[in-house]
Amino acid sequence: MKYFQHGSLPPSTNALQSLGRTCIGKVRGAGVALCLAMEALFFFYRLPKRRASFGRQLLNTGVKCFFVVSIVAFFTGMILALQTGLALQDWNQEDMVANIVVQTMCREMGPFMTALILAAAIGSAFAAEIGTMTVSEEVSALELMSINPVEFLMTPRLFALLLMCPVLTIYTDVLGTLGGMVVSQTQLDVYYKVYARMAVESLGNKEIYVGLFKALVFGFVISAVSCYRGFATTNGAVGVGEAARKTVVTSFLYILILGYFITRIFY
Amino acid sequence: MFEFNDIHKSFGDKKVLDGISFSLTQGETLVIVGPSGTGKSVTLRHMVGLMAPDKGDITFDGKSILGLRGNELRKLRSNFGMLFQSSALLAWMTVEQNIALPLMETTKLSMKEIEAQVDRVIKLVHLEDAREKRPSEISGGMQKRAGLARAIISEPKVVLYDEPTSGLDPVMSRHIDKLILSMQKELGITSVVVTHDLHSAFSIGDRVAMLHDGKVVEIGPPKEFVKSKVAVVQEFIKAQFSAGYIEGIIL
Repeated sequence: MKYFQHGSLPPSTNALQSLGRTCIGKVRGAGVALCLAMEALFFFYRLPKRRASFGRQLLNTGVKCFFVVSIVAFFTGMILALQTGLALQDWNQEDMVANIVVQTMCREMGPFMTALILAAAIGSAFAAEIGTMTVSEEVSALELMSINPVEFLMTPRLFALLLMCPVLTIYTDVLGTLGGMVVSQTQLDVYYKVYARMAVESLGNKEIYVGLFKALVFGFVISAVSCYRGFATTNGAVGVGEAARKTVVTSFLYILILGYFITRIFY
Repeated sequence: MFEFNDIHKSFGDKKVLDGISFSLTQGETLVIVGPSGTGKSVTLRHMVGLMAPDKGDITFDGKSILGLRGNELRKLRSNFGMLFQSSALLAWMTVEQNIALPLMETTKLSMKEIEAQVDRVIKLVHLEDAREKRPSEISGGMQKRAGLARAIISEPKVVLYDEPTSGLDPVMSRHIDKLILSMQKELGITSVVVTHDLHSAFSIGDRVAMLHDGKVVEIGPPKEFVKSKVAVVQEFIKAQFSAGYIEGIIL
């Protein structure tokens, strides 16, 4: 692929050069991942032609993660309610637990937890699928047939994540809030109607759109990283495993770092 | 038709091609042999722009193919079909869908026309019984034949074969050899075959070239190739054949 035809750097002879090579490699990798994702975005108009593949990716992303997202979301809300509720009880402010749970879920924990699950479950699968295709020359075969691998393989995956990440985030927010409600009712003696009223009153539009914006960014990052790792795979089966591992690690780091900066910009 | 002029290619510190030059004429079958890691597959990849050389020039029909992008590169590649070492069939598609893929994606032919083309090439490679199966459900030899059908469905001028008989039993290997020969005879296709298998090389090649240490150390028709004075060529031949067999080729 054209993105991977750059010349190799000269061999390093000392630790400083080695550090420099590593840094250049990381920056180059981030640049290539961004270029791939932008090219995949550009081909949005080909999505109707790729509807079968797009549908398959939507199903993979949504259905396969549904169970784990449900469990994680519900327990995240329960843990949040329990921890903050116990602290608030010391000041007889346990009624406020709904405000904290719903705002934390929508602003931070909903998109964050959803993105982590998608990176681990879907991002690694994308990297492994495309990586296997790369090492078994299927990607080269597509290129030779004048089929753009980015449009053929990445565009459906990118748009599936761009759609499903916000959808699953909303689901996580709702389920987390319900988890908090269960704990508030059973352990904090906050009546569920009070909890629901406080949750609705404290939830502003900004909490919702910042959370959804984060989900959109995380979906973009996961697909960019995973597809880049897949296309860059070398060294057979070992390389495929390595691509999946690196996808999860890199995505986690980007999700954490970008999550902080998006919050910092909006609040 | 094809000219390789002083091509150099390195991966990091490792020099893979060290100034190789050869030409290919229309309708000819050139077989490239040599030990593993001498740059045979890399040479094929240079021919279709899947790799770019560090130095040197490659021309096709008198025009340099280096630096081609977009439509120009697509136009160049429309002249080629390639049978990959691993067959490179898409795992989630059936044999039939794999074979139809180039026409589905790059032409405006109707489904009926595409089906007719698929029927034609499937008969040519004798895969009628496997058309509805996925690549994982068929044997290695059938995968190679499906890969070959996909390579020729667009009626390319040149077909490149990367280790077409590797991993196959002798009977299936000879069957693939016959298919390659029939492609040349029936369709007039120019072929470049990369192989370790000298038996294949001598039975299908108009000329045989040997790569060693990134250089072409011998090139010529099979009868001249076996008489080569180059030590590594003789060593490579003797590792596979008895003296009697070589005399048979010369005669």
